[in-house]
Amino acid sequence: MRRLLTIGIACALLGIAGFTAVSTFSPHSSGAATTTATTTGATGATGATGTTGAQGTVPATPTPEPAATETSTSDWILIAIEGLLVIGFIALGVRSGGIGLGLWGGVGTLILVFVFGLDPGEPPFDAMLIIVAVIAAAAAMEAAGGIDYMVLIASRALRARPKAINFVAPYVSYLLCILTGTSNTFYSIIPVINEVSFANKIRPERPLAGSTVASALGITSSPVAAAMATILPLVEVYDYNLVDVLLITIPASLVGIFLMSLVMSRHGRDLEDDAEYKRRRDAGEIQAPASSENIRLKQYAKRSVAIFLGAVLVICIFGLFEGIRPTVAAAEGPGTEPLAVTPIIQMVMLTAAAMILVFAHVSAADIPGMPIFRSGMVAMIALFGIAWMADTFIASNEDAIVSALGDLAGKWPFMIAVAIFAVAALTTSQSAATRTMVPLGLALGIGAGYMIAMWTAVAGVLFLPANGTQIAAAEADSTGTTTLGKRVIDHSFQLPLQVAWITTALVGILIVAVFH
Amino acid sequence: MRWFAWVGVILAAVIVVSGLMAAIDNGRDHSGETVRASQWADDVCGTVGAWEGQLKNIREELRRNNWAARRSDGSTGDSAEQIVTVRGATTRAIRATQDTLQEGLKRAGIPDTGQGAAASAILRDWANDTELRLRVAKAVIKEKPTSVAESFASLMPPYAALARSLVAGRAAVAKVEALDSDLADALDRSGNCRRLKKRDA
Repeated sequence: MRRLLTIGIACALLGIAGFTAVSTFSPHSSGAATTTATTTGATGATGATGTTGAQGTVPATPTPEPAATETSTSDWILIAIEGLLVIGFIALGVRSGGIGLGLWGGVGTLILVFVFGLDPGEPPFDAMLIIVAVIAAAAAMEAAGGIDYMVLIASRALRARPKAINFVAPYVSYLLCILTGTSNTFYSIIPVINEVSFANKIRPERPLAGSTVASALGITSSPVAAAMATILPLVEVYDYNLVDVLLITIPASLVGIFLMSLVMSRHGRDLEDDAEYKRRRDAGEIQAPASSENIRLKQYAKRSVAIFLGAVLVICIFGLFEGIRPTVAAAEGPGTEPLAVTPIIQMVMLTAAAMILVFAHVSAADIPGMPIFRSGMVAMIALFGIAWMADTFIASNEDAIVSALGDLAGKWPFMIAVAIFAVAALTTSQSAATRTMVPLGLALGIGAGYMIAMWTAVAGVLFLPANGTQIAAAEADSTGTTTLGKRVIDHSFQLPLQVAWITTALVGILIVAVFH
Repeated sequence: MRWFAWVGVILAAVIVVSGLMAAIDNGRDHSGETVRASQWADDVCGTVGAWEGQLKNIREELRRNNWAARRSDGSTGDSAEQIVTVRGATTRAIRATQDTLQEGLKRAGIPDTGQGAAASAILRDWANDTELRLRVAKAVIKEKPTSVAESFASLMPPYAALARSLVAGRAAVAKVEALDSDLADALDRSGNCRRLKKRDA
């Protein structure tokens, strides 16, 4: 009761503060950076007298849009209040846990829109639908006994060194991301990593958190990722092509992931000693892992695993080789272009689920009852609310955030890696961090090779616990060791993230210093 | 770990990376200084190349997106990360021109040739013109169109502004080359300039 009262008072105070601030600082617009107007203009402008050139229907010689290089103090106050609200609701969400994360995210979105007058952002439709498709396939496999079979095989393989999963899992997720260019593929192995580690009495947080971070690092190592397509035109004039970029990012990431896995393999108490796990086990919320010798395989378990892994392989092949993808009408002009990977993941995973129904003789009615299905749906709702709230805040304030961090890097160029990390964290977008901060670093005279090395800092998207992969991994872990934290930054992914990106950036810088 | 331990970890991370970068490569700023013509040529062409790369990215994103497109895919690095509108793209082009082109040309300094100062001014004027053209174009988009024809016509200015700026950029470089034979030689021999010319050909 007291807790609810506290939450209510906090919401009311924030709402009043927001309403007052909005009323007082009325010029606030959805593009926060465009509000103030110290017209610096173009001092040497000589040639821009007309407006359009070829077409005659446009109004003649309009006044140029004023240069908006600074965000006013009043805007910063508003942005700060909005940011505090977002962080506050993330904190409330992670404290509530599970579906509560999404529900509080929805409340935050409502306040941002109704009280602060922001335009609502876009929920992460792609990620949500991928979770649905992958969870359908994984739950079908679980119903067919496929998860048990994978646990059995993995347990045998890891018998001598069960802790090896702390190293193997991150590299597998990294590889999947490289092959497909998106960390969406990682969703497909989250349940497998969780079950295998739990069955081997390994604290699931170790491989799950490490793998989540490794999948984010895979973006900067993938020849088919959108972020890679963004950076190449920026650095090619400095004589860096795709191979040169990969020769920096891949070795650096491999070392970063290794050190991260090493740290994570020693992180936290062992599962049997973990207080939260013991509480859940004693309360009957979770069963202790069965010995692999006691696993009784269902008749078509192997078949379901073959179908599921085959689907993952198919996605990787389509991701890597654009030429074999179906073509769709080009977005502009005549001709066609390859289908994107995201709908391919969704289609292939739903098809895999259907194939498991048919060939592994699973009843469709059994699938929603599987634990994997439940945790996946919770993750989807959690992601829905929290990512929607974050996007509502970011879409309105991205310019101001990027501008402020750009100014920081302009004053102290050695802070560029931190600025890239911070932009990625605050915008939760690798592409936004790449397209805004990398050219800025190049203009500041930082070597292109070093910029590529520091570009790996876009893994900072995992700094706040508001991403699909983080939420899905935390929800999949029924032992409770993988958490989204209590104070927003103290989540399970923070330590591996910091170790991985620092190591990767440092090794990348050393590679450039020695070989370029 | 307690929350302050996490803050400590994050601060340590910031210090380690920033410290190493400060030691190895802290950028360069030759604003107002005289520099060797070869270095100036390399810096100028690198800057222009990075700026053109930004424009290419904006163009690619515009090609894939429209008002009905989705903005977010949950930060997975996938291609449909955000919606890009013509007005938003123009804002980004202005920012790219300010942060990359104008800042880079300013930091490149003044080449140590007879007409170095004039050459530097020509290119910086071009960068300023580009920014002004884009601002004019953005002002046109901002005005509420009164007819369908005007709506479509208002889409043209940003494209026209950028096209004119790219043509004007080549003209500015040609002017610099004609102005000073030493600079023409430096621009011709610079690796960055050769790659830029090859890409633009």
